[in-house]
Amino acid sequence: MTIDDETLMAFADGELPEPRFSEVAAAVETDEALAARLHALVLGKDAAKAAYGPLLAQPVPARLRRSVEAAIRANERPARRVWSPRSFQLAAAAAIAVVVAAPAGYLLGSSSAPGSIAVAGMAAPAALVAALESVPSGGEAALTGDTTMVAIATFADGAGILCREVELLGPAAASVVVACRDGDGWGVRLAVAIPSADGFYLPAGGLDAAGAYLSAINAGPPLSPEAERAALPGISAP
Amino acid sequence: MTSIGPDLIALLPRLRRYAVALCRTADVADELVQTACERALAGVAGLRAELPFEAWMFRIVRNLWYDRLRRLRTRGKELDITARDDLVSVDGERHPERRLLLRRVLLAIDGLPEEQRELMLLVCVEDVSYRDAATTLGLPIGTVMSRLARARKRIADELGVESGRLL
Repeated sequence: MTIDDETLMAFADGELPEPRFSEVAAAVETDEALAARLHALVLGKDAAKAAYGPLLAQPVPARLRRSVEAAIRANERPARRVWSPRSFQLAAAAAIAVVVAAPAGYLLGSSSAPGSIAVAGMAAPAALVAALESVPSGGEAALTGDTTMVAIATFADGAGILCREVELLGPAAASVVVACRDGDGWGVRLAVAIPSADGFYLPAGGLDAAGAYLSAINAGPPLSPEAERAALPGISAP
Repeated sequence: MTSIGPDLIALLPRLRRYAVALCRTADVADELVQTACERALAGVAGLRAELPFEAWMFRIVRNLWYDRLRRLRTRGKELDITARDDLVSVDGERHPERRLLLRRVLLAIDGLPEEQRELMLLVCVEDVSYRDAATTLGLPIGTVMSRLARARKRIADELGVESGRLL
C-alpha cells in the first residue's frame, strides 16, 4: 500500500476518515520509512505552533480593544434591529451604488469634464471593457484620455456574478471602480473618487466605500491567477 | 440583526495573532484587525452557514492584507517584510537551545512561499480544518492539502528531525 504525504498528514491531523485511518495506523506500525515521514509532518506542525504560540499570551492592545468595542456599540445598537441583515445589505448596496464622484468622468466617455457625474449601473466604455477582459490583476493598461486602468482583483459576488475591482488613474484624479459581467458586456456597479494616486498609502475614503460595497454584495475572495485566467479567457498565460 | 459582538471580542486575541503572523508588523496588524471587525459588523449578511465565524473573520483579515499588498505592489512599492517587529518574540523562552530553535522555526516559516506560509498559519497555528481553510482561501481542498504537506516537510527538513525533542 502506498500512502502519500497528504494522506499521512490527514492521519496526523485526525482528518482521515475510517477505514483509511486504521489502515494507515497499521502501516505506520510496521514501516519505518513511513513512520519517519509521518514524524516530519507532525514536526512541521508542532514547530509552527510552538513558535507562534507565545504570541497569544500577549494582551490585545487596549487601544485596539476599545476601538473594536466602539465599533460593536455603533453597529449593534438596538435601533438597528428594525433592519434585517438582508435589508441592510440592500440598503448599503443601493446607497453606495448611486454615489459616483467627479473623477469618474472617464466613464462617460466624454473628455473627462470636471464635475461630470457618472451613474453606476451604466455600461462600461469599449476601451475599459477590452481592458477588463484582458488585463490580469496586478497589471495595467492605457485607456483613452490619459487614463490608465490598474486591475486590482477579480472575484464573484454573492450571486456568483464575475466582478472586477480596478482603479482608473488619470493625470489629475483617480477612482476605484467595481464592474461586473452584465450579459455579454460589463456594467459599472460602483465608481468612487480616490484623492491621489501617488501616495504610499491611499487615502482611506474611496477604499472604505469600495470595501463597504464589496461587503454589501458578499464579494468572494480574490481569484487566484489561474482561476482568473479560466474566468477571463482574454487574459494570456504568463 | 445577528449580534456578533461577543464572538468578536472573544476571538480578538487569535485574530490579532493571525494578523501579526501574516503581516509581521504590530501597527499594521492592529489596523487590519480593526478594519476587519468593522467590515464584519457592517456585513454580517456575508456570514454563511458553511463557514464558521472564526474562519470567516480570518478570511476578512487575510483578504484585507492581500488587498493592501496588491495595491502597494501595483504601485511598484514593496513592504519590507524582512523588518519583522520584535512582537513575534521567543525571548520569553528560558531554555537557550529551545529559544534558538524557535527562532529558526520563525525564519523557516518566513522563508516559505506565501501560499504555503498562509496555510501553515491557518491550519497549524490557528487549527482551522482543511475544509474551512479551503473555503477561507477559495481553494480546492486537494490544493490545500498538497501545499500544506509540502510546507510541513520543508520546515522539518530545515530544522532536522532531531529537533523534535526540543519542542
